Amino acid sequence: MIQLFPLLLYLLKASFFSTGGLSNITSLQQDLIGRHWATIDDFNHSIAISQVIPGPNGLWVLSLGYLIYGYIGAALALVSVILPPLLVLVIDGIYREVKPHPWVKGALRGISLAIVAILLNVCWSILQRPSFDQRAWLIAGGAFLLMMTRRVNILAILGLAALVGLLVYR
Amino acid sequence: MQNLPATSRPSVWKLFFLWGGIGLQSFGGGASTMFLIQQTFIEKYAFITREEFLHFFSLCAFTPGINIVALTILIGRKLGGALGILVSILGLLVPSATITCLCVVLFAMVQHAPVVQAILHGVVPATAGVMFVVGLGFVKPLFERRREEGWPWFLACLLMIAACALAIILFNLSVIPVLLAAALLGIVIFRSQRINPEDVPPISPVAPINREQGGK
Repeated sequence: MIQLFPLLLYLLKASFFSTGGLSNITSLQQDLIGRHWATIDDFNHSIAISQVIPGPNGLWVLSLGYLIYGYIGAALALVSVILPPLLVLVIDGIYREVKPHPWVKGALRGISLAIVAILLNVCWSILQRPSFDQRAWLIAGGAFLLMMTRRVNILAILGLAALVGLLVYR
Repeated sequence: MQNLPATSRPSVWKLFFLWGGIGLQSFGGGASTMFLIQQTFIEKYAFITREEFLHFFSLCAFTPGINIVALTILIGRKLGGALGILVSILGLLVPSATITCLCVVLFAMVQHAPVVQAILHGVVPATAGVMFVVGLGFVKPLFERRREEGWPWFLACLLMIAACALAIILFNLSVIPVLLAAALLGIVIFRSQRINPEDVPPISPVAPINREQGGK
């Protein structure tokens, strides 16, 4: 029997100890599968769905909530997605207080460089997928060039990529 | 980083529709969302500057949960105070969340179909291309700073990006220790640098006004 309040707490815990949308997966798997409230298939389906529908990747947890407990589960998941990032207001407040120190500027500059590296790593991890062949390189390169023109809507680019995938890989 | 004055703020509805548009168009996850945020708020409407965006995102890296939600909160506050935060989050998440719920049952039935697999095969590499453009957007201020600061600082920055990327890719380090190490290295490297006068925030006259606006 699934209890709603503990479910909300598990969702919040996973969100609170994660950075970025998908790093809450492990924590939720341990808690929810361990209690037989969800199956590994629920997780796989939710994550796959988040890849094809619009919105931040982190919304995968809404699908999980729905599969576990219908619309109430999805609503709890939505709460768990919104609450932890609100801490950014506290962090911003702290930053405003300590900002005059030169070391804060240095630290933030260092972090902004690390973020570039983290974004590069996301590209790299996609390039490392076993299904990434020469055709995939062409699609990635084409998407890059279309993006750089700044004239083509991103939805059109991804739609085109879907069409190419349909024609090439089927 | 003061909030926009009331006169130049977008209306509540406009803000809602801007974020709703971003939420509904951002296929492929965080990469396209970030690109659309840059395109909408920096390039199209010039509500925030590129440097500000980078600053917001640095704060979001410390924040638990989805970074893009935290980014939405900061931009929403700048564009409309507390109401702006509420409207921006609802605009970003509610349309997408609705579609997510509608799709979840349907998708579970069709996801193993070869057609769906073929479509995913095309979309995922394109996401890599999009992500690379987003990364370039972050590097742009570096090139602009090179003119003021000169080559040694620029090379130091590139080295640090390379070191962080290698630490994540080769040594499989998780993101949080890399961010902490980068912060410490940043203190060591950039502390000695003279602070650019325009970077120093105007403290006395602006801050109190700012606080009033933030409370609305």
